[in-house]
Amino acid sequence: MATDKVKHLDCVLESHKIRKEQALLDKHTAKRGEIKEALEAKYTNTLYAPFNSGSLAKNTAVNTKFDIDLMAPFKRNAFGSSGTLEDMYENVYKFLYDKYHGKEAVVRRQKVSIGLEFYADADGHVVKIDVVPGRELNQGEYLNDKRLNLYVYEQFGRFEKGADHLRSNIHAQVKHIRDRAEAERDSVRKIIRLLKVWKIGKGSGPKSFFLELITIKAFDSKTITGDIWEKLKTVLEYIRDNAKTVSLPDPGNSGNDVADTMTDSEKSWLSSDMDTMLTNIAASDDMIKSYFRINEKHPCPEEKQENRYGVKREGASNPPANRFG
Amino acid sequence: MPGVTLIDPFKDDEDMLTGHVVIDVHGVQLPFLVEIKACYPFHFHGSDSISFINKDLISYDHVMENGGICIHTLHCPVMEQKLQLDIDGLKQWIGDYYVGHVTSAHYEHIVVQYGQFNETEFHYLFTDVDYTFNKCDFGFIDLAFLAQGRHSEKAINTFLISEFKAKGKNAKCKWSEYYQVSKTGIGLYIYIETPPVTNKRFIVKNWIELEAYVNPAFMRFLYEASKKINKEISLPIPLLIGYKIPGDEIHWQCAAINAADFPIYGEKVPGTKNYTSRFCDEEITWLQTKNCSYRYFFGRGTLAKKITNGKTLIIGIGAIGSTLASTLVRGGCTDITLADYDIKEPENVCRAEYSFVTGVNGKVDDLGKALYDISPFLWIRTFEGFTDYIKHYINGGQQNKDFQEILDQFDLIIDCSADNDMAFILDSLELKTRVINLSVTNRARELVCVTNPNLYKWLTEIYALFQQDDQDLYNPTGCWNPTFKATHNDIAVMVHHAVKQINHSFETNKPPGNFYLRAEAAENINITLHKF
Repeated sequence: MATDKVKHLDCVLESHKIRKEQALLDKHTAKRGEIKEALEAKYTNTLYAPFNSGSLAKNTAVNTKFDIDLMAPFKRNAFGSSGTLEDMYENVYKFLYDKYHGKEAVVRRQKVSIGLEFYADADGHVVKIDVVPGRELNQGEYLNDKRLNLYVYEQFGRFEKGADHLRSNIHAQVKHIRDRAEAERDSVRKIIRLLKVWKIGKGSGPKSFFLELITIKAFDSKTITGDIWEKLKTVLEYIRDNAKTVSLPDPGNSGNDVADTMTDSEKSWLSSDMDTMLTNIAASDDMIKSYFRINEKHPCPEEKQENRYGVKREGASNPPANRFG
Repeated sequence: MPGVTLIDPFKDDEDMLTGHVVIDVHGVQLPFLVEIKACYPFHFHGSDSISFINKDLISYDHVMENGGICIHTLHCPVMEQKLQLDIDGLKQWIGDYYVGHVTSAHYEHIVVQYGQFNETEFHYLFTDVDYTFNKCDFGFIDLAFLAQGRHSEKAINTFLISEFKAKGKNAKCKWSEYYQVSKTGIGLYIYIETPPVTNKRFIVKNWIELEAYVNPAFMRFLYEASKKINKEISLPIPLLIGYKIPGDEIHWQCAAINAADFPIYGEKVPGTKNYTSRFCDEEITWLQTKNCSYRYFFGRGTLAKKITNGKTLIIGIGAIGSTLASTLVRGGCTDITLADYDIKEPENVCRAEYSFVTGVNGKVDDLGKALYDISPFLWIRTFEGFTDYIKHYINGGQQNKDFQEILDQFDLIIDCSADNDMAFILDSLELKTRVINLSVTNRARELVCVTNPNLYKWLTEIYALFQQDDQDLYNPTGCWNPTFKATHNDIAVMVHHAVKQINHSFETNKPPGNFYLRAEAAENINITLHKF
């Protein structure tokens, strides 16, 4: 029997709920608090209050990747009157590296953030937190305009390595996504979370912020109704048809286009990925299971039932023996 | 023919016709000796079989040492038309280079007439070194004999330059260790910075002419070397002479020295008891050299840098894995680890990259040797017990972390083992490194390529799409282990197609993704790619 796509997607969303990983979430929250305190202690007079800016803050997180970003907003003169964004980035990197690397975590430079991946604890839990250093545009203005500049360590999209990036109001970005996700829990929020499941399953893809904004843009541009599969399909079609040309104004600074975080080739691949996925699901409903995978740690009740009684699920569950090299 | 005046009628001169003409281009008249080979209008060894020769023109670009003008005209089997094309080509050269003084942007090596030593050709291959040569640096070189060949009934000896014994530092040539193992000869070198030429492009012919390019210290070194080197050596002692060429490169030419008879003599310094070394008035025998550095060796085509620059682990080197390994090495990969517990037997040869001549042998050693034979820049590590080891020790705890750490040191892991356990283990380790799994169905009708994450699941899901015939396998008499049916061609065409697709992904910075290729035989053979 063909897969019931609606039922499957509901199960995907259910199995990826944050609360199903409460223990791991608590560890993330605790570690984030610890890093926040460490930053505040180190940069006593030069740092404004660090805040959360990842998916968790935006209410769009899934439990296989918490996507915890900790924004560290620095004062304009935090690294001297002629200090650069690179100075800021490297200073924070060095501090976190010296404090955590090789002791309890691996610390690495990333596109605009510094990634901390803590060693697995006794439960096998791994906490991953990205610290994003940002600097206010002019001395003392942050508290009014909330705008920050980020440093681009590694080229992404159209942003060259070493470039100043964003000049954006991160608070406004978070609020924009969170407000839409909360107001439209059955549509915008669910579709964003499904796209994150797709991206995590694929192991690569656009930045979460891009996916969030293009989903919202799809809902604003088209009449999207029906069941969860119909809504998802319409958004996938929208991305397929518009990824290469869409403009995604940054809610924190309308002068920025978040579409620029991807190169033309990457946009083209995204469009092509959507096309491939839609074609394969149209050819076989079962393919939806490959693109939007259930978190097997938290299977839905029916799946558990099947497993408990050893009922063989449709299709093969292992690769065949007659595979050759 | 307009613009062409016959001066001496053509006559039959052994196997060619020769005659003299004057070519007129817009009032500029130039005489040429014309030589036409018997095979005209066809080419001879890839070159035109007609020559236009004027020795007075050798200082111009695209003129050979005998005064022959380099023209390369189009193929034409009709003699009259071909002759017209060749005359037009000559006129074009006169217009561009004699009248117009056009300078070619493309650098061409200086012209050298290569000779032989004791009726044998000698070729010396050199590559890059981590050393900056200064003008008049000189010293010894170590040589490694590579192979003896034959061409046109002449023996050819090929040597590698292994090491320059530079002042205070030995500069090892960047061949892989496999090619550094044995020193089989010595030579000398001097870096003179500018090419030793007359008429801008023609290498000097006499040792005396070389004296202007070297200093007294080198002459003393040469004298001391003549005393030190065993005079019984029957091979030439190569004197490499280096000079700068465009692109911040050094090119080396090689003058042959007879160990028993160095081309030098002592000349008394007037008014002293001292002697100074001078070159003899003797013709130089130039032997052939070739810049064989990585960029030239792979100059005609390499795979994406993201593949060639990294460390690659290939697990399983049967038909797919060995074909893949060979393709990667020919594509410019230099750091490959081979993992396979299996042994190569005669029946493996027909469709994998193994040879009968090496007999029964461990696959990793056998293929490793075959790959070393391809590239002098290759570093291979072998790991026969890899799959046994990982299956034995994997435990979900610290050991997994160790495996992760080891495997993440590779930049690319390609599993061609068709071992479902390995696919499961590699997927469950959640490596940061890209893992690609390649396998085929019977008759290599489909080739499946899946990558992490979720590699194992994709493998299951894609194979579930195929209708496979379990009965139609190759099961030779007395064998308990049937295998798939497919020719080398069946497999190689699919592997090459897959490598092309994967390479394209790396070149365009896109993850390779999951796909299968299907070869369908209808009126024609069609290979289609199905993406996921």
